Amino acid sequence: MIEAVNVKNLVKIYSKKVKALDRISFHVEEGEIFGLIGPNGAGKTTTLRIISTLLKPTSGEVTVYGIDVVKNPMEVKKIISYLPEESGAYKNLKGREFIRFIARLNTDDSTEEKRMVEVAEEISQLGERLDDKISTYSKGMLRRLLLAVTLMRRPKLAILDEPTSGLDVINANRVRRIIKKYIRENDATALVSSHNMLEVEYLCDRVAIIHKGRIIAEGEPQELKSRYNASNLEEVFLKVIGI
Amino acid sequence: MTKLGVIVWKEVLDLVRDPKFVFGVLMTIMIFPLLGAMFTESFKGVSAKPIISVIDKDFTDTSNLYVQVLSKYAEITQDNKTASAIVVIEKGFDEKLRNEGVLYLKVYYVFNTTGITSTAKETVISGVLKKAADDMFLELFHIKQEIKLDEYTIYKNKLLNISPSTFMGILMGPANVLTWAVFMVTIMVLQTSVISIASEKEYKTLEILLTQPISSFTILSGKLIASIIIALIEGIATFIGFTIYFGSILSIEQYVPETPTTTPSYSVDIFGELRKAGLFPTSPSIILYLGVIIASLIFILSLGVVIGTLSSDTKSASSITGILIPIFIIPAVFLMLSDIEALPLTFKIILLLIPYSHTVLAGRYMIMNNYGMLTLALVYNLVAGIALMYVASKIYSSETLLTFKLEFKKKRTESTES
Repeated sequence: MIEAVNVKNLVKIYSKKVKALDRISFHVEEGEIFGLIGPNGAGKTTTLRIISTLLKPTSGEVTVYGIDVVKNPMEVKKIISYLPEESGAYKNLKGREFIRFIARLNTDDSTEEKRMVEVAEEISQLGERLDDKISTYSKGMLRRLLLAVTLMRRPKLAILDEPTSGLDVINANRVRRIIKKYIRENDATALVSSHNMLEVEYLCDRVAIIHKGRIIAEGEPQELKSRYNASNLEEVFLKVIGI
Repeated sequence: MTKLGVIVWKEVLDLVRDPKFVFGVLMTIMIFPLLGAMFTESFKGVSAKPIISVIDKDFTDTSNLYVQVLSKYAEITQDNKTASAIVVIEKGFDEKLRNEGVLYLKVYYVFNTTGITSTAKETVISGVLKKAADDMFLELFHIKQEIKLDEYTIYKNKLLNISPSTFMGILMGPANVLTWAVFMVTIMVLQTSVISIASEKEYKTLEILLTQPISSFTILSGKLIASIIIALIEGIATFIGFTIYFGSILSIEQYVPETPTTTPSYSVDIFGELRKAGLFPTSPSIILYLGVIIASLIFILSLGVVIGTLSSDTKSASSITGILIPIFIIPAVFLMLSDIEALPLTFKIILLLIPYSHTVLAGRYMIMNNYGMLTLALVYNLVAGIALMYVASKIYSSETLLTFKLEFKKKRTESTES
């Protein structure tokens, strides 16, 4: 099995001496949807930001498809795509203009650009609304647009931070189905973070539970439920932290 | 408390806690005494007893009496080099005064610098001459008579056939308007570059942008070029407005056939006189001035990037910009109105340490064709701009861009992000 992500003894201390990550280790295999779950402030976003090359680790090692994220960030950027939590888009651009903007940053080939735009149109399901200014979009529409530009690049690894954060049930469900369908059909890999443990249970092949900067449990959702005699991952989490 | 009272209470609390407000109040308290102190220093020379050189060609008892009366209010000298004005009492002074009741004097005002203090010098000298004339009228005729001053300007040893007020008005007007126009563009460039960075943070688009396969340098350069384009559009609009303004000023030449306060009836080519004194910008001056503006824009853009990087959102960016703008305004206003040469050394050094001071002064240097000072302004702004650009690019390519947050309203630790 090829390792898409390998995290070894990762530590991140911010300048204010806040230890966000305390020697965490995990790996993600190619083709799987891996979930990083935990409450707010557990260290999920910091982990994803380091893997996405946005932050530098204090110590430890992180590789994406064997490429070191610190030593060779540009090569990592070419094969990943990152959807930040509560991310926005340029409000004065139209949806289609935003898609083209991101596409042109990723390719100089007009055929490939055209392909990316078509894929984004299909994923976003925004139809004619793509010709409207982004400032007129609802939260659900904006999230679908951002998910579309994240996946249209056909990344080897999609890093999705709280992909359904702030969405209603219908939009959240729609986004989850898009992610699952896209990853399966394109043999891609996804690293998803969420504090919604029920969502992760539906979406992920394997999960790691992170709490106060440390990974406290890791495995397949079914396996974890059996191990802790719980009916869902939320119960698993509460039992692991002793509540 | 009424509902209206509750709203007012919240609004006042919110506004008062904004550091921009606190800084604004502090600046207002500090600016006026500071400007006052600087102007007092500048006017010290003006308010002292003026030194006037008198050339008496009439050589009568009356002309002699006038010089005596004048010496009560001014220091009379025969040395033209140290005098602030040269007064010529023409032959026939006594006859004209007795027959026509007119005291006629030719006055040459001597200027080596330009600015509001120079204009004040004219007012002081003409006041002294009139006061002496009034005293003499009362002594000779016991009533006030008419006084006519035929006024000329000597600028850096060159005689100009125009009055000092016309000279200063024409010279300083365009220079100051040009400086204001550049100042407006500068503020706009600063705000554009600040907002360009800070809004990426506020609308949370920065992370998406930074994870695209392009270098931080490319992103930063793109932002700076875009800010310059926006500033150029605004600059062109300002230039068009300025050209219309300057065109209307130039047309004054047609409507001013005589110097305003003199009796002789000859035509005066005001701009010809300014050219004669070397006070009309040459092509190298204009090119150097444009260079100064470009260098200044680079400095301002880099400053904008640093501010944007240190801000968590557009509101805090706007607060920092609001705090910085007075730092530009104070020297700009002062330098537009006053003579930097007349300032004490400490004030002079403080003002000249601010790169933007050189941009403000450059407008005047262009009109005076002072290539040396224009070159210094260009080099100083360029060096400061490149140094700041280096700092900006370092910040932009580091994680400080994401992790540094200067917030005024709330304190958050980084741990809340995760």
